[in-house]
Amino acid sequence: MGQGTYTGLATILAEELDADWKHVRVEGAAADAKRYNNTLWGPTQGTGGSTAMANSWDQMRQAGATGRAMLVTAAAKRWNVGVADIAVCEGIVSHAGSARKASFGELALDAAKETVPTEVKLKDPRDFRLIGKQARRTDSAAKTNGTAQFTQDVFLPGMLVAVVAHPPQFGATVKSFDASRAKAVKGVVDVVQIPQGVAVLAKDTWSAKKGRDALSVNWDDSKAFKLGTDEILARYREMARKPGLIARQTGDTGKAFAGAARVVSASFDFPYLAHAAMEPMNCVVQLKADGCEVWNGEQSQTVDQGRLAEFFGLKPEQVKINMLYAGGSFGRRASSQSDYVLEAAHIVKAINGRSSVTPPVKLIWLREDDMRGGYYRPLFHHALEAALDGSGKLVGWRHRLVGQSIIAGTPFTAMLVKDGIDQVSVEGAANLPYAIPNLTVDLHTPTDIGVPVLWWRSVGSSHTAYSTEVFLDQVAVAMGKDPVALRLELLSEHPRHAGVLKLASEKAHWGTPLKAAAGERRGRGVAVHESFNSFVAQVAEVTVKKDGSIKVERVVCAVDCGTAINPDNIRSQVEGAVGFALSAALSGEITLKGGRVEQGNFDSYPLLRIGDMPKVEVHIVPSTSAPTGIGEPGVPPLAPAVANAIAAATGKFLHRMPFNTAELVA
Amino acid sequence: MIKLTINGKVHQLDVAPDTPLLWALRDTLHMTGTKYGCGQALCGACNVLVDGTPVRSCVTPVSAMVGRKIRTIEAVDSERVGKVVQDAWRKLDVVQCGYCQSGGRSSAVGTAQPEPQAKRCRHRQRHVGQPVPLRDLRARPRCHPRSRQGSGLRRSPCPRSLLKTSAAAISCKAAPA
Repeated sequence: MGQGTYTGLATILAEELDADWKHVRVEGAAADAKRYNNTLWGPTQGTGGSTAMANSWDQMRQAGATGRAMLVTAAAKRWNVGVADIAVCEGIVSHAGSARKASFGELALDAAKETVPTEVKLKDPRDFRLIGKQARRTDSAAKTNGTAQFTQDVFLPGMLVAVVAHPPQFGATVKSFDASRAKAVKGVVDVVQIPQGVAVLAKDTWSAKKGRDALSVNWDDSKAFKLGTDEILARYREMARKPGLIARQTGDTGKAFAGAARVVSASFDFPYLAHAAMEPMNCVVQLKADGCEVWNGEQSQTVDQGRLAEFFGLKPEQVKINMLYAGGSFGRRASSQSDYVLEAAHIVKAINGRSSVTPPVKLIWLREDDMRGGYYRPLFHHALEAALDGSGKLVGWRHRLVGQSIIAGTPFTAMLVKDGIDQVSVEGAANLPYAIPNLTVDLHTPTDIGVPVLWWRSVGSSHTAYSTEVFLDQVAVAMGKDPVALRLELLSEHPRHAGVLKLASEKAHWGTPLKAAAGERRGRGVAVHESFNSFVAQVAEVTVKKDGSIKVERVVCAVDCGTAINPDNIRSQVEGAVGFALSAALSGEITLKGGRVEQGNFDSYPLLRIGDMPKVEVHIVPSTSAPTGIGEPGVPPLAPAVANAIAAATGKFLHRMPFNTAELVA
Repeated sequence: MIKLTINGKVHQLDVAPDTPLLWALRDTLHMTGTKYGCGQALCGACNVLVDGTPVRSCVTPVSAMVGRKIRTIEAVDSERVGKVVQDAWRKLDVVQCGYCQSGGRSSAVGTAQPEPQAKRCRHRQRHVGQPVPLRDLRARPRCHPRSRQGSGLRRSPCPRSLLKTSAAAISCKAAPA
């Protein structure tokens, strides 16, 4: 959610409209699924799954070309000339023969009266003036001078700030509370119980926080989830001993393994991960006589609108959502339970009627609320086996996954859970592109783990790319083959995978020696992965020091995401993805003890610092195919590329994330 | 009442003395360019310039700011280095979600400009004094102990000191040589 979409969507529209980019302004769309339906999920309005460009490509081109045609028709009528003689360039409609010209604004009213044409001609990509060039971001100025408005920045007359005391374990509830000390804090206005905990309302954030600190709450943990992550993982390992539901079956895997000359195996552990967006979740809700109004950096308008309408007993159209910039999200704002949005609504309902006018409420989650609030990337355990035949050929592959379902029980169940298999649990594993004749992917989905889980940038691929790509390198070592050569051999039917792989390895000078300083080990590693219909290969160069600490020096990325609408946006997204994914690989881990989340802030859940950011090169494959995702696809290959580089340097494959560098001590 | 000098203007604030500068700026003065990220001086989204040095406003009580010159993102371009950094930020389309950019930019401005008061900082190291576009900052550490070559070298506080609490940064500045 770097929201380059504000620029991307506008670029497509302005291109076909022949608008002047300098005059383009973009506003966030209000919640209105009829008008802003995401055609790739529909009928629902939302942003996610890296669908923004893929969904908008045809729509915005058609809309722009339609608008242009209507402006041209209006100008032709006004000047009494033929439409064929009219030109449009950078927002100016002109007729060369009579030297007349008019701006879009001057023609807009007339153009709006024209019949909307049913068919319009779209530009030949060779004539693009903005697409594939460097359309400047529409949000740079506001985000550079501090005027860009995020939810945190909303102030309404009479507004109260709410900070909530949340239970220490998922599923725990309030038994009793004493608000007397909290109410004594200057600035605190009210204290109310809600299903999510106890909310302290104050005139400002600091007073609300001090009020919460002074609150005394007794929690009822009788229904709380009390396991620790070590216990969850032990259970998952036990489950992985038995076959799960089959997500993919090709050939006869049993026979391949029975006749194998050699079997390679490995298992992998992946932790819960917090999204840790720089803007902790927050939401402003105002209840009015005729409905409710919400201010939020939205990712899932229709779901939030529907849940709020149901909660307040309103019609969806009575819930007005003001779309603001989001200070990051990575999937967190697309909570299918609308968790923090409903929390704000509960507070408003709890204070409704206590005064003559119900004040608007800004719910602020402090960093600790955000980090301990659940909705994590699920913890997963993977077990893999590969069978090599007598001639050393890779003939069998077994991949078993154990982890909670993100989708089950959400409005997306019908669409994404097939025969008990949550498709996003196995994406990247079940569609393994490699030509292996006998292949089984199966899945266990535990249903008794009370930790809320959610999509986290690149979703299933955030773990499946790691296990498949690191394991394939392990197999390559067993086969005595070069990792790039083996992949290319197995990707003969997948030219776009092979294309990015070749490009990245060529740009990274794959195969040339890397010089290491005395006492240091260096290595190069590669990974390639398809997600959200885009293809990304990365080659990482890593230095491993004597003490096991690692430094990722350089990451060369090759990206095939179809037509590159804004190349700089693509580069930014991939650079950001490298930082995001490296953060998770090096230190991302939410752990639970007795059901309590042990992390709370960036001291215990560190994000990558600027000094640890590698040099990133992004090479974009030229393409005229329709655009595909770019927000997420840069994430999956990074950790396996780095792990494979570490293995190249040390001979040691890392089987858990985040990396345990103690294993790398020389 | 607490008197604060912010962006050259004097403000009288009716807030508790322990109120962090961040919340006074945001909730009392509605100067929302400075952002909350962690509340523990860990992330830097809340950086403002105090007497020219980047300071974590989320852990800096207003009581410690009396008599100090506070400059926020809203006026970061009111002097030359700030203007240059801001222009570079725009020219390179540095922002993505943009939430923490105010803090990042305050940090870059404070790091880039000569600060006579900062000369005593024990963390201080030499580094290239020109404002460094984030494109470059992304690719390498901001502090270059060995980059003594070339012109434009200036002395300024080591960014490592910025990673500590602002209180530490302030006392660091006042430490004897």
